[in-house]
Amino acid sequence: MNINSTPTTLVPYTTLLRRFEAEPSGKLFCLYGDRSVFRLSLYAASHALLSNIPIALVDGTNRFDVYYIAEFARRATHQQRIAPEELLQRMFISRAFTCYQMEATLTERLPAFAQRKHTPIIIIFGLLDSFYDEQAPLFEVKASIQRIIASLHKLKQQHFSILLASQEMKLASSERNALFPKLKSAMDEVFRVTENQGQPRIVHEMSYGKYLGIRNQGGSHGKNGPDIHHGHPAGDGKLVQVPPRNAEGRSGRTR
Amino acid sequence: MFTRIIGWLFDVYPSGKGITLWLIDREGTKYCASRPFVPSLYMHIAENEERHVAALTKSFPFPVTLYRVVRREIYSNQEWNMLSVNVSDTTQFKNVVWKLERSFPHFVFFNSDIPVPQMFFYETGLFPLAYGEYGIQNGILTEWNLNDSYDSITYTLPPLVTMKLNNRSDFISPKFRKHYQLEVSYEGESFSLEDEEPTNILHSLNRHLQRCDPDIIHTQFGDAILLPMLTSLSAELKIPLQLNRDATAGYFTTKESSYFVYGKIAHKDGAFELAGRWHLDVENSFMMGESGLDGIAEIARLTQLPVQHQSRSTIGTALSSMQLSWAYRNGYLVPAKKREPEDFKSAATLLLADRGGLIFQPKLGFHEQIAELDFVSMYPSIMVQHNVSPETVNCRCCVNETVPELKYAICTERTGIVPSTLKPIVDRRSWYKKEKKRLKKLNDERWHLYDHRQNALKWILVTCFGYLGYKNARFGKIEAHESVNAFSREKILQAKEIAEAQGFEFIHAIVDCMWLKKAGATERDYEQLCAEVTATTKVEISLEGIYKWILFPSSKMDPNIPTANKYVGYYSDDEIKIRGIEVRRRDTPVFIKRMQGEMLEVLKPARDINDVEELVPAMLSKAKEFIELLRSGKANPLELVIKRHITQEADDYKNRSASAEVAKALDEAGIKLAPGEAIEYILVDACLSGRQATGKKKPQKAIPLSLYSFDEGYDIEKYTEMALKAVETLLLPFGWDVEKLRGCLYGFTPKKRKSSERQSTQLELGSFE
Ligand SMILES: [Zn+2]
Repeated sequence: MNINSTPTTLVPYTTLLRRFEAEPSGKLFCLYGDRSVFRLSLYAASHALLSNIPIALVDGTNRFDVYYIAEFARRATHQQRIAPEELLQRMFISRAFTCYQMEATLTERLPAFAQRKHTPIIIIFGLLDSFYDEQAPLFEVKASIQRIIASLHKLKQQHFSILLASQEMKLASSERNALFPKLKSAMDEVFRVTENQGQPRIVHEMSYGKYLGIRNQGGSHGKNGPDIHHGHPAGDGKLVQVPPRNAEGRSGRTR
Repeated sequence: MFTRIIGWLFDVYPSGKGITLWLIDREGTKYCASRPFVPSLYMHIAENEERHVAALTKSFPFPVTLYRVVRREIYSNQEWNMLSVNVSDTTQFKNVVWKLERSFPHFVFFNSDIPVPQMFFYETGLFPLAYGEYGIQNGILTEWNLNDSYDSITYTLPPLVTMKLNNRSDFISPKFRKHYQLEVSYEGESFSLEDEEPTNILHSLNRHLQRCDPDIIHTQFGDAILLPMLTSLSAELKIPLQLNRDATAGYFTTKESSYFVYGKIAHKDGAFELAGRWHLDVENSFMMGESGLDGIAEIARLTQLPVQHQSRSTIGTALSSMQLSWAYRNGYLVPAKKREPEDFKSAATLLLADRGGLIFQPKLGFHEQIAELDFVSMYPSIMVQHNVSPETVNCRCCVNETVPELKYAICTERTGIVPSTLKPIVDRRSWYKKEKKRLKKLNDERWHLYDHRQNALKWILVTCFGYLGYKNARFGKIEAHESVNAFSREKILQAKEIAEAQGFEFIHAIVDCMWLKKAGATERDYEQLCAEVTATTKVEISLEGIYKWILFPSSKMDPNIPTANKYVGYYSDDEIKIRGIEVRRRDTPVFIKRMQGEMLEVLKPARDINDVEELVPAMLSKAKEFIELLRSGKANPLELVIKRHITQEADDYKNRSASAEVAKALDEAGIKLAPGEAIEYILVDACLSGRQATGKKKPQKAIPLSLYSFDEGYDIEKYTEMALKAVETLLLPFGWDVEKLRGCLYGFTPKKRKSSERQSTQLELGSFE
């Protein structure tokens, strides 16, 4: 995709981060594209954790790297003088390995859990990845996604902010390729990530919903300029390197 | 007319009459009968939605009846009000399910994905090869009285007639051929079906089928190649084949598939099953290859899977069937689609849970006077002892912190489906093993039978743990998998503590095995230690043996790192045990295996490390024999065949690895392979093959066995390299690395590489892949 030819805005990475640091109030974000979406989301999540915001994460693509969070906790808590354990206790994960599990998690378990544990931020990795499995019939998959979208909107009304992080995929089946645009169109804000000389570059693709406030609440780290930071702002405003460990390194078990 | 038969239930399949059954009596006479059967599925829907179901099922030309029932759901353990949907035509059950699934969400369906023959077995309590008295009235099986039970351990099998149907040449598998020379054999005689005229082939096959009337048609590649080829020929020439004993029935076929299992791609040929006869394809049956017909019969009876289906299914399917049968017997309904999600857990808990079994790295090199102690079936024992099951770990009724470290709850209200089905297998296998040992001592040949049976069960026990964590396992749950790991870590730590308190030195441990040492310790000392560890951990641990010496070789990547589960050693009774090194690996060419095997044979008389060291020159000279033969170019290329599994389709390979080349060469020759299928090839000298094959644009470095001709030779340098690595595995502790071996074994002195020369001194074994 040629970024310049589409009516989109280049969004500084920091703006996105700020959204997680500020008290969120019910939006559906989608971050998709290059596989660095997972690392970026985890990085954003780490900062929310530091600000004492608990997070629920649903992983549908086995990309959640618990060691990344552990390493972040070890480094960051050293500066902030809290125990890494405390930070790790604020992040909750559920992994879904099949599309049926993904649906059950998002429509039943997650709403109950998020209410009970008061996790204002919800991150979902690879929501559709298990739906691309040809073993699940298409009609079933489509109906299931409808139920999921309904559930996400209900969560939004209850003031949970949800970030979907998805790696862009080209599938053999054109019908399954159409599933992601469908999901995307149900989001409030969509950001596309491309990799530019080793640095993620984020493009604010579109605002579907009524909510357009991201520009006003962008914070002090730059607004609509191109994102060519070589480091990323930490919670206290200092520039730090993104921890080198790759979020794509899977955690231990192979299935 | 009423007939009473004393015999075995041989075959079962759905038909227009409900279920068709075949029986065999003690004289080998076959009987066909049918029995009406109405399979049911259950839907968890409100009463006002019933009308919708009725409307949908009305269009079928056979009755589908609906009624309300109360049934217990397995995960919630609660009684639910369900709609029972009963399909009067067994052959149409799937179609009814399919139609309903399009109008209702997947989570309302229960028991709807169970194949009809299995359902019939679960509901009637019958099972394949059940022995008893059967009464047939006018062709209908009206009554039976079994003198047998699916879990009996002293059962007999019917007299079965086998016919073998093969491709005549066994040098290259028929998958890689375009022309076949068929051969049938039975009653000790073989007949070639070769003929110019395909019509004659079909006629003569039919003649043999009539004459032999086999119960079993035993093939190699019957599923993938032979039977599809024969039946399409039969359709083309309009000559009906008599492969089925039931002339009114069709064949049951499925498509081949490639799928991911435990992170690896695997391939499965489609099935080609017969009616009234068993078609067993040894190439498409893991169990057939492992334990033969004895193993197939054992598992089919126990799992209630029809024999042909069982022989082709994975161990996971076998396990699932036992679990489903248990659910039926205990009145539980099972959701059609597994959807129980993982509970949310904190990152802190995940860090703890995400670990596997414990491994204590060994000190590298040779050790002497070391004992190996193994936990017997550790994982299944843990599941049974601690009630680990998907519905019992973090159950909905109990609050406790039973699982070590992770503090997950385990149900105290009910025994789980996994332990309930595993316990009989654990007990049964232990009985077979004892019986095998007893008979072997008496020189009674029947020990083979019990060995086959225990071996078949071993695979269930080995697999059940992985299956518990497998995403598509019907009764899998990640927390249950993590719990078993947590218990296993606790147990090996307990064992370590007990051993060290008694002065044993802990040399090495992998998950459920440990290697210990104590100066002067006897067999009895170790056995006493085993008794204590067993008493504390509640999992039986036994003395595998005391090694005269054992070698833990280092990793190929880093000489300072040992590799898990790789060792070789001689027990004090001169028996050798090898794990993970070249001679045991499936991907090692036979030539290299033979070389390493013979080098190890040299070490047989060694009593300790000193003796081993004294035998190093003898080992080197053995290696030299092999390497000289290899370098003379006169080694048998058939012994240099490398086996690999392709990971993608020929077109998808981007790299120029040997596998990619072979897949592409086969593709060009019109042989299409799917990911996960095995290939066999020989590495050839790229420059040489380029020169010879004038028509080819690019020189080839690997040629598939089926396209190989002997004048193509082999890549001397690459095979030498492999051989040197295999020698190094054994001799590195004495300072013999590849470089030094090169100098010693064929007088190689490193020289400057010319660009035109293909010296592959830096190649790792792995880079061939
Ligand atoms: Zn309970």
